[in-house]
Amino acid sequence: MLANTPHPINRHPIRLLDLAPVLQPSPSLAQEVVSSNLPPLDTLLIAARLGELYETIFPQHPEWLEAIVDWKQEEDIAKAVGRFLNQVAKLFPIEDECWAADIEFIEWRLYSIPVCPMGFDIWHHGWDEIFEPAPYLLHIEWSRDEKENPDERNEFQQLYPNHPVPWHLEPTRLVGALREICAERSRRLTPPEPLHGLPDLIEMLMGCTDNLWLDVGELSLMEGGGYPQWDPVEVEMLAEEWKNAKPILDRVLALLNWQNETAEERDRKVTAVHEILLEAYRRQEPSYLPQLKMEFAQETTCAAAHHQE
Amino acid sequence: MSNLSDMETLVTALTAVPEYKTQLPPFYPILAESEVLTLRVILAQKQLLRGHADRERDEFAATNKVIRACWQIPPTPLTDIPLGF
Repeated sequence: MLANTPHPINRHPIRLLDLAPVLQPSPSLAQEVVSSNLPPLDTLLIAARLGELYETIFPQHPEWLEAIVDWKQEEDIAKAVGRFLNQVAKLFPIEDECWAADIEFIEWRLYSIPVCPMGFDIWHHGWDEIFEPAPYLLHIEWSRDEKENPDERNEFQQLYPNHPVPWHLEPTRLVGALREICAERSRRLTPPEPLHGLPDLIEMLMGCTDNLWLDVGELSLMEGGGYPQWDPVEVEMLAEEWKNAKPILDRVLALLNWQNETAEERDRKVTAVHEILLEAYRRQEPSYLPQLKMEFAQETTCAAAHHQE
Repeated sequence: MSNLSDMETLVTALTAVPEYKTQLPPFYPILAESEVLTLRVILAQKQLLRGHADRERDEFAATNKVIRACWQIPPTPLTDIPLGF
């Protein structure tokens, strides 16, 4: 633009507002920087951080610090970070894929551990997207509040007319009794049946396993933003927690994937869960039968009154 | 305070600022002499790299502060077009 302008230019000695000579490095310095052929500072900072993480998280593998990367290529940087995350993924589940889409995104992975928690996001997903008996248990817990939500009256009964449960039956309160029943059954049966995952599933759905891998869902974590920071103690704790979570998760998945192909199979599964819940309720609440009869009588009266209205 | 005296104040203040000396960051010669930029080589310069990044950030913030302050000065007609405009 300057060379082609048709207007006369008042060329004067360098003055106050001529910023170019002030803000640009001197020609000799610029030449020195260019000739050094170094990657930009942002990239060098990422490399230093990556090296720092290898050093602190995997001190037993000093040879990994000898990795050579083309630090000028974003794709290569992403791959280098991905290789580190792959090593961590052997300890516990994390998002270990790293794309070169955004250097800031790559950098974020080096400051927060991109963990993949396994808990249910029951308030983010439709319950019908989860395999039975999870929706059945959730509706027992949340869809029977007739007093507060008159419009949702009988939603649970509409969805599960053949599998009613007493009003005071709360799956979370039956976990202990269910574990007893499962332990008794496992002494008789080999291999253990998928229903043995039921107490674990109930605790997972309600977020009360006390295991951070199982009590929090991926979407909830994303929403809350409480990702753990890279720290050797934190990594060790996460790995230990994951060791405890894995067998629980295996039992839960075995139950969710069991009898799931057809509607008949799913109905059989809910029937089996319904029976074991009632058995646990009977065991825990000896006054179960009279109470059930009384509740049934009350519900029948209420339903009749509602129908007349 | 008139616009003219504002400008005079600004010019006086800017004139008093010492000349900015661009320096080669201290890690550059060290890294540039390395045959291969392994993680270990870069990691060894961690403190220098971060110190330099902090300085750059501080300078950027300071420059930005001056620019924002200058926004409050009303435009003043210039006698000729500055070189490079």
